[in-house]
Amino acid sequence: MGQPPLLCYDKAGKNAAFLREKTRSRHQSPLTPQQAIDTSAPACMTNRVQIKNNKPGRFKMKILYLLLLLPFLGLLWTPLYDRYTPVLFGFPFFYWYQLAWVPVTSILIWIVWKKGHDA
Amino acid sequence: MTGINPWALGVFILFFAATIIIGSSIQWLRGLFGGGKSATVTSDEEWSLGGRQFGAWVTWFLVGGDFYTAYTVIAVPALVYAAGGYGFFALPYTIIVYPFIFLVMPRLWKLAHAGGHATAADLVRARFNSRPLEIVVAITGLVAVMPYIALQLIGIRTVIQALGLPGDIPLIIAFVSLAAYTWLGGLHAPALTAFIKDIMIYIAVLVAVTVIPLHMGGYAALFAGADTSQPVLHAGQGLPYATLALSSALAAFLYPHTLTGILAAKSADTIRQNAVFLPIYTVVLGLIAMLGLMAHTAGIKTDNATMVVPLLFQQIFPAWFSGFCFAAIAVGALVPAAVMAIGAANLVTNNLLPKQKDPVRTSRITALAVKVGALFCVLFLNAKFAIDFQLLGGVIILQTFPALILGLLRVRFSSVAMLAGWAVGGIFGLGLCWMDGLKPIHMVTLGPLSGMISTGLLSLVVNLVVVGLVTLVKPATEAPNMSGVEPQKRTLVS
Repeated sequence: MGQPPLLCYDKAGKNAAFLREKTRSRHQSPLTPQQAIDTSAPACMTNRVQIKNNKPGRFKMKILYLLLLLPFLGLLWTPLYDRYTPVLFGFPFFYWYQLAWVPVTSILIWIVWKKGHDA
Repeated sequence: MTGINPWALGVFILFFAATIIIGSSIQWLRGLFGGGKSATVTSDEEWSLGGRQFGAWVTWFLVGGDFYTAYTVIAVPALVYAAGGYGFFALPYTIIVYPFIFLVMPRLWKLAHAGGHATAADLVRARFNSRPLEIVVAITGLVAVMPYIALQLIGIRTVIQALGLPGDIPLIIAFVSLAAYTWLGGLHAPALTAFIKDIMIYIAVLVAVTVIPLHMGGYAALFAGADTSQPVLHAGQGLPYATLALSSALAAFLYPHTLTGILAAKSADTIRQNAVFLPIYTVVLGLIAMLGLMAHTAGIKTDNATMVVPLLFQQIFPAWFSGFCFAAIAVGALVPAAVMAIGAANLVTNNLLPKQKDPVRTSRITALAVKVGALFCVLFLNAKFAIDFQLLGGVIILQTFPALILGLLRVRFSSVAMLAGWAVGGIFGLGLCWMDGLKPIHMVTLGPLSGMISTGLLSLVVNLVVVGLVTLVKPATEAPNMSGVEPQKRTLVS
């Protein structure tokens, strides 16, 4: 449930950035710092983010965000893990499988966070 | 329980009192060591959001401290004790919540930072420019957090009762300590004591999950009696397990207290970083849930499931250490209860009352009133399955999901659509709960398929359908305000 809003949001944000880009080129004026900040944009779309938006890394970012869907798939489909075997350190599969998702989720979020910085 | 054990009581009082005193004098201590800077609580932002200056560590302790509460330590093992593997749904819940936090909360923080907002209702007012919607979101948060505070008071009462103190004395002790602590310290009090709480809880839990299985012959002994050819969940439990986990995860950070912890962070990146490291708490939660299974193996027999953990500790540990564990649980209830009362007070002062001359005083009084309300919840409502309270609160708080989270989308949702969705979803959800005898799950039949689904999730779907339909028929006339800053204020600035 957390996933689709983000993608839509990004898409909308990108469209907005694209529109501004278009308007700007029509007026043939260079981008001043004030325009770059553009107070009508959402606060989360500061100029830094907008510049990032125009890089080709955008598509990679979207793929990365899909990583965040994995915990949902892995944990909400219970038939996947609803059994006792194989046992690990005395823990039935049901328990250790879910516990194992904790570090996996942390690592997935960490990857998206770090790559988000680089992109 | 056979009388009062002086060792257990002594250790308990020592740790519990020390935490309350430290928490209450935090403002004075900060004045002493912080070079006189902000020695007194002058601004409301200081009292209610800690000045919005909490870095990665403090945020980790604060959010962890008020998300993993006495509910975790008492009610999760209680449910596992009563219902087996089914009670484990708290684990997937507290895992999938983090990708959600990572994606959504930095955006909310930025909007709140830009507009100087402290509550969900503030954010919604700025987005939709609608006073009725603001009031509705504020009242929903208030009503949902009340039983949650009650849950914490029940947690404190449970351990004090386990120490052997009779009657209503435990509840009065719990209430007075909580009140004093929040009044004096503001958000700084739970932020500092969350640190003490976590260390105590970690010691208690790590000792419990290593020592108790040693008494019983390893973790394998916990599952020795189970029929391993069958699934762990009983027939028909898979769907409610997954849907409860999902709806709880979506609801978790709509609450005033969890949002307060998030908005008090220093930056959006602090929140992202915390989404990576907060799951460490979930490992501890999984081990705590195991206590419910250990209680069975240890031969604990009780009708009152909330007493499972205290009884287990008393049976296995020496008196002084069970006193320490009880203090850890009591402090573990105190920290979130204080943040909840502050979050609720923020809603009242910011969103319900007209602008105040002395907002700190008003916030303090409101926080006290909220706690009195919670006290009544404990006294007059059935406290047997404390976890169901939290789940019912989850049904109504989920109705603010569209306004707060979908409001992040650049879609022309109108405030009317949000109000309609809230009303229909809320009535639908509470109606189902009432018909099902205050159960958080409802039987749904779709042709040949049928199963129990979380009522919260069902009512959220109804809510979203209504919001979608109304928006299709009549979209908002103005473009959505995505700046976080209110229109009036914006014109003043520019």
